[in-house]
Amino acid sequence: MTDQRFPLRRLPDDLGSMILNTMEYREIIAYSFLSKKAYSMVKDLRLPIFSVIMTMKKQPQIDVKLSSTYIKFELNMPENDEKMAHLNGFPVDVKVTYRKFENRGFSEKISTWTNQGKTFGEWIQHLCSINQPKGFYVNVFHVREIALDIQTLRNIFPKLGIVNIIFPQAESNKHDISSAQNVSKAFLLGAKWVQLERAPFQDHFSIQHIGMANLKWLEMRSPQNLNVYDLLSLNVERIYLHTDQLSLRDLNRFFKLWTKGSNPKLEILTVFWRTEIIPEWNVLLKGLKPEEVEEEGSRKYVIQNCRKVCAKIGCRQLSFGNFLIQFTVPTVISQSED
Amino acid sequence: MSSTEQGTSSAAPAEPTTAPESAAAPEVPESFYYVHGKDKVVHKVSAGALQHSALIHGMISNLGYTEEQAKANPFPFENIDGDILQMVVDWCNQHKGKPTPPEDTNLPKQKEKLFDLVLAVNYLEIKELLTYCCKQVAMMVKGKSPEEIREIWMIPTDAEDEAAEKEAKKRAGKEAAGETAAAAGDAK
Repeated sequence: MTDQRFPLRRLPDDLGSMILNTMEYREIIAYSFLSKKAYSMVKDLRLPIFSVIMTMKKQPQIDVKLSSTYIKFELNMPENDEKMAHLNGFPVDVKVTYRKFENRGFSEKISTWTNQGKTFGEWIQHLCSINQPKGFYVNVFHVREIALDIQTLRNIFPKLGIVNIIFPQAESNKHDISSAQNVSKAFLLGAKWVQLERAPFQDHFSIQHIGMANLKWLEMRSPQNLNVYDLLSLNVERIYLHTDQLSLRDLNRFFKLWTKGSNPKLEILTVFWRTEIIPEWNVLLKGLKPEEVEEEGSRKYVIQNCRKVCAKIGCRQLSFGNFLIQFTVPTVISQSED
Repeated sequence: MSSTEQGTSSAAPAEPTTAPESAAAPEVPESFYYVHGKDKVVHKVSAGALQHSALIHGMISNLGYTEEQAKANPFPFENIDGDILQMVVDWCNQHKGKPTPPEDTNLPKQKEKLFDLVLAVNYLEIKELLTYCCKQVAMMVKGKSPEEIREIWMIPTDAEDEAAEKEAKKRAGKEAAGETAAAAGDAK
């Protein structure tokens, strides 16, 4: 290695930046860890980071997505049975997976770095501040595996765009609920997109809490204790729901209430419905006075609310036992009707 | 570009009708310039080869030398080592009048000279060669860990940076003090 030495820092800064610009993203990020000056040079490059996804679990990971490149940092935290209660721990090492799209396929390279003298919290802050992503900061919280207080969450993480709260497959306990509450209190006001997985709605963690924020997009996968009246209280533009709990009658009731003026902000409601029964239009559209339209070879129905806003309802089978029911408020229709 | 080239280029359009297809125009006598580095060894380089260097190209355009004047006044590059200048001249000759390929296999391989070469090429404003040099420097750390990059590129730690900065400040302070003392002495 000694015959390959090159005193990079003795070059003028613009030449140094030029060299960095010809490097692959993994090496550029590696360089950013070397010193404050190196980090500042990398920041000046304004790397085209699309998103930074932080997955908070016992063995956390941070995914940095650049144009056609994807870098995954898996932080190998010291083994213990306790939940992650702070972000001051030092990873034992960090496994770096570098995936790049080239020659019509992904090439993958794996390497292991030291912890660079940084705690997990410092790793988060370092990678999040290299450049503001064009897309989002995404944070995935596995609530069973963490016990982070609101202040820690607010101090360490950037303003998040997407918050994903994942409950365990096993029945949720008090800790899970309190952990999810902390996350929602820390980030809900700033978030625009929220995903909830297996959320057990109840008094202490209700959908009303989530719905109060001005969300653009709410996705719920396998929610527990969800009823149609919960959906009515949501102040959300788009709802994606993966469930087998909601009945066609419930959906019909939801649409009826929409025609009477509830959920005025709603633009899209998509229900991925797991059922072996083929949805019956008669049940879904009962009392809605729908108008049938033909669109892209499939049947759709147009309903209208008290404000003369129209919405389309469509239904199609995705695969055996999986149906998609979609309610959309296309701007074009509402304008023409008005 | 040079006066000699301009003089001969006016005759060229008359020839194509009679000339064979393979040699459409008669050989235009090429003009040459001379450069030397720190070692004062003079290199003869064609105007075509020197076009790669924006700096020299600009100098030639501005000076309008004849061949005799160019011979008598070689461009001095005292800040470039002779062997480095030789590398640059060789590269310019090899790529004379050719579009430069995306990957250059003719790049000098001497790693120990790469630093001086980057500086020289940057000074002479040879864009393509500078791009290749940068790529070569970048290739030194391809697939390396942060620690390996630190070693290869000799990157100081924050503590070393701070110490160097302190040292530089101290030196600057001493120099400033020396200058004021000297100025006071002069005033007396």
